[in-house]
Amino acid sequence: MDLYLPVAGISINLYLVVAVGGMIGLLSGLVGVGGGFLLTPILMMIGVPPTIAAASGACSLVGTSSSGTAIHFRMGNVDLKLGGILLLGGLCGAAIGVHVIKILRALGNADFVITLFYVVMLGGVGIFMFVESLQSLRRGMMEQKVSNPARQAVLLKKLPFQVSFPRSHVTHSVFVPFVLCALVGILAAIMGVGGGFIMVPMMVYLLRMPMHVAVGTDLFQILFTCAGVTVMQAVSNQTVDIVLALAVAIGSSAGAQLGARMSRMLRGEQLRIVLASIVLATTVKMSIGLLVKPATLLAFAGRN
Amino acid sequence: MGVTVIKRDGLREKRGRRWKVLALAVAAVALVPVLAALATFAQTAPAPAQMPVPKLLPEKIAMGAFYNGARVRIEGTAPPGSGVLVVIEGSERDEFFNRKGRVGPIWLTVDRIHVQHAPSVFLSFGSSALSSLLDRQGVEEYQLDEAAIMQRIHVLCHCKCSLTNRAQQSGIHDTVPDPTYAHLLYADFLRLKQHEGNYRQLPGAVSLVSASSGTRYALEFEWPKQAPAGNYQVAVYACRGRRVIARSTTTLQLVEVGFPEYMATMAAKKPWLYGSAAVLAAIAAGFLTDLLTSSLRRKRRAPKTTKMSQPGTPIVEPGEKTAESHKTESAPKPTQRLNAQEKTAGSYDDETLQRC
Repeated sequence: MDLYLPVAGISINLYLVVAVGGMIGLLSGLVGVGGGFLLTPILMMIGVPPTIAAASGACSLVGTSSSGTAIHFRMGNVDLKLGGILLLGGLCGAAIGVHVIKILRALGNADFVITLFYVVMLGGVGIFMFVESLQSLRRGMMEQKVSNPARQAVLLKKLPFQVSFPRSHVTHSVFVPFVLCALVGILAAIMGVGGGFIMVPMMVYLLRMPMHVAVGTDLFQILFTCAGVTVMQAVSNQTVDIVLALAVAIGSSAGAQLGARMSRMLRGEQLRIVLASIVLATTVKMSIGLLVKPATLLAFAGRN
Repeated sequence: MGVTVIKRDGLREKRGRRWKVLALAVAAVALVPVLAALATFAQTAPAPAQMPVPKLLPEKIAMGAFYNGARVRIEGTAPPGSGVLVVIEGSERDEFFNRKGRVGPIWLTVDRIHVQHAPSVFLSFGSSALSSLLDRQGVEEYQLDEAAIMQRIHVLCHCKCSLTNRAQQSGIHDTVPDPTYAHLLYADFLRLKQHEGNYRQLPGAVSLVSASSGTRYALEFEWPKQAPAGNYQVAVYACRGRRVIARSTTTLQLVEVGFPEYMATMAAKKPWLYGSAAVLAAIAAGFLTDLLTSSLRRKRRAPKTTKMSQPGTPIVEPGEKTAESHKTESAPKPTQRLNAQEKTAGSYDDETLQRC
């Protein structure tokens, strides 16, 4: 069955879009990544113009993350207090990141720098997570690691405004999650992605949050970030296609439910391995895209 | 004195004659382009005659919520013994593209391209190959193939990147690329349009039948479903002796109707409302799916719950979870509802949480 997209002005297969949404939602519910870095290229592959794919993808992620947040909230995996601070830090970081990218573009070679940065960043995070999780899985030392914090963690405890986050079983200075999330926000804005795949490792390794709570809290903040992006895109570019977004959201919210339930069957280390594999697969795909000549050298771009 | 007067008169006559010769020469030179233009006009083929307007089925394609392209039929009558060419063209528009290029071993976006006056759709169907119907001059005069329409399309570098040194200036101004690069850009643009299916040439797609009134032609084809809404010009050319002898045009309309029309209008005219509605709809979709799956799970577990809430069966309260978990580890109870997976994952059972 085909569906006509009023803003994109094209017809697409409904079942295909719902299936794509389902797959993205599954990953989202399982490991807490928004899925924007996968959804946009897949939508482009099935014929949706890039600008529409990016904006409508953000809108559909609102559906995915609301569904994922709801089930993770019921499972006790959403830390609202920490999530609020992370959201604030992320928004501030994104605002700074937008200016950084303007400066980079003015200096020239911005695309080259961003692409290389993206690949190195993804590859680094992916390899680190994969190796670390594999070691934890083998030794079963996760609990020991949590109980023996690193020297840096001891230093962080000396910072002012220490607040306890009972849901995450951690105590941090308010500045720690705020600054870290602002840094992730800057990176996310430069790379043009939501930042879920950086945010979750950051919460696990730097904030020492349990993996399940990191996933739930990340989905909670993605909900607000994507809602903001959707409204801004609809107003400034008019590139949000509500029909496409809803079709993807129906599939992805169902997938997110399944993913969240599947996450209960896996331990934290296993979940981290899944996330690391996704990040590494994306890095490989991007590297191939950089090295192999594309079929068509021209690709549609937005106005200016 | 008298001799002097005669000499002066002779000089004046000589000067007058020179002026006349000069004026005649100037007039002759001025006449050359006029005569050349007249000669060209005399050589130009006579304007093609008008033929009956082709019949379109349907005349208007409605793009509803479940629009999936359409099958279009064009038929009519052409002068006897002529070949027929049908050309369908969408309105011209400006488009922007990113162009990839090789920087060292890596393929990156190196240019931003601005294409002007490109028709959104260009479909050309003939009763036989275009070269057998028309000579090159005729093809270019009426712009009947992709190479001909490329002459009116302008490709400019809308460059913000500094990776290319082909643009003459930096910034976001349009600059004219050098001819070699421009040729590459035209080829890339054409390849992209053909890949989309919006630019197509199909010789032999028009069927011809001789009749007493002339040659009856018919064409049936799948309308490209990616073509945007708007008016499309359908031009039919009757060709004989590799020249256009008659011509006729009509318009095919592609219009959005119903829900898509309403949504497209709202997105353009009330973007704030549209954006907020999109967010609310996505949130509703997410929460509804969550409610639906939860209720389904509850229904599936209902018999289990009845069995477990029999008198004497301990009910695990959320606050007691940890303590109970410890107890379970030391002395497992058969009625305990927390399973091993829940303990490992650190999550709660849905029903337990609902009571919480």
